[in-house]
Amino acid sequence: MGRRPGPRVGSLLGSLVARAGAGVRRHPRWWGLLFAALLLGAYAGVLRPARVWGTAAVAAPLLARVEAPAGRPHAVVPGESGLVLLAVPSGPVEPGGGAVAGWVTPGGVPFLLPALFLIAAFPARPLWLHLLGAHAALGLVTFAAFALGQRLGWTPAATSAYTFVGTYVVETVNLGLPVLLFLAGRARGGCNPPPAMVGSEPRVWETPRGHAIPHERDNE
Amino acid sequence: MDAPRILASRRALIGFFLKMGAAYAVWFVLYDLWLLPDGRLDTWLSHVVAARTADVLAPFFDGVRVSGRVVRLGASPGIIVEDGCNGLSPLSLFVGFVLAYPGTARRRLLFIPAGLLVVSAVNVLRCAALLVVQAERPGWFEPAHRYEGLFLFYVVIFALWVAWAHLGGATATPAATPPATPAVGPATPAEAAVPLRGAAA
Repeated sequence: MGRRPGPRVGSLLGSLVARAGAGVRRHPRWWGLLFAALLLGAYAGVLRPARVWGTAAVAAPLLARVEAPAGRPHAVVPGESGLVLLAVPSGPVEPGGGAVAGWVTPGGVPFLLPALFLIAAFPARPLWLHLLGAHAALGLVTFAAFALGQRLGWTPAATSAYTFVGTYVVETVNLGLPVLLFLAGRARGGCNPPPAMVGSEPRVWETPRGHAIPHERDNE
Repeated sequence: MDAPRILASRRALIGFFLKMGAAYAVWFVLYDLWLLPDGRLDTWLSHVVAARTADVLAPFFDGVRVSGRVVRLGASPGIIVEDGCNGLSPLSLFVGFVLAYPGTARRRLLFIPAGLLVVSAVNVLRCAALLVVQAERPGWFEPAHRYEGLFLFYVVIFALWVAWAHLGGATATPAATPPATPAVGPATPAEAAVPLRGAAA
């Protein structure tokens, strides 16, 4: 039986958050740069290795279990970086042909660059987390599309459909969502943190009921 | 409807992305399934980009030569402006957002051509910079070619979209809730010019 944090713990945490928020508001640029540096370090030290591991240990085995139709076999092989899985023709049909499609593990440079920008511009707002969620969701969508293409034996129609998803849909999220987040952040008052982080002021940062940001995803 | 309102409403957000998706679907059918296989538009644009790249460098360097899609600087192998490296892809990306984001039709008609000119000019400058890098610092060419396109076009298109959000004439509303790239390469003296691409894998 665990005990819920009592009012003292809650008040202590609230005070710490309020102090941190006030500090960020006093020096938003410096905190923004610091957070961006931390994010860059987390990307290089954690996220990128995790993506390599996830590609090899999770995505590749899942795709290997997808059965291709007879006569159109395609093998799934990892790319050089370990962050890309390629569908390559195999068997008696077009042996050794070039890759017909590739799936890139989400959370790569197209996430990192806008995330660094957002965190530097709005250090007190977790906009980059929305972006990360969107990239993760988009990764699932493109993974499902890639698996479907594999299941269909990469027919011309399947290849075209995956090209569309992997190019235009991905770019829409890669660039469109950061722009919307940036504009929304600016509309809320530049680099100032939300009043919720400052202490006694009204907590207007909470998302109202019924409003949500769908999360989607990205490229290496 | 502005960005906060788009992000504050699930319906508005989905509608925005559906509009962008529809614009890109039209472009995909038009370009990837018709114009790209046809080749004439890409060939024309690649020749224009190559010629303008030479024009940009000519006042500053001797020995700039252009032949079709290939541009060379001095004894360097040169670059080939390939399909997909001529800036057409970023152009379509730019237009899709402007069509989907709220704004007046009149301003849209003015902004799209202006943005296309900016993106095209940036691509020419990018090709020129790559050619100079290849001639002066050959070892830097591959990394520059691999990453600069992605970064450059992202920054330019991001800036243009933000500009459109402010200049498009959409009705500004108070924010009630928080939320919430590619083309050119080197060429051998004969005909083995290296193709340029802009997107990082």
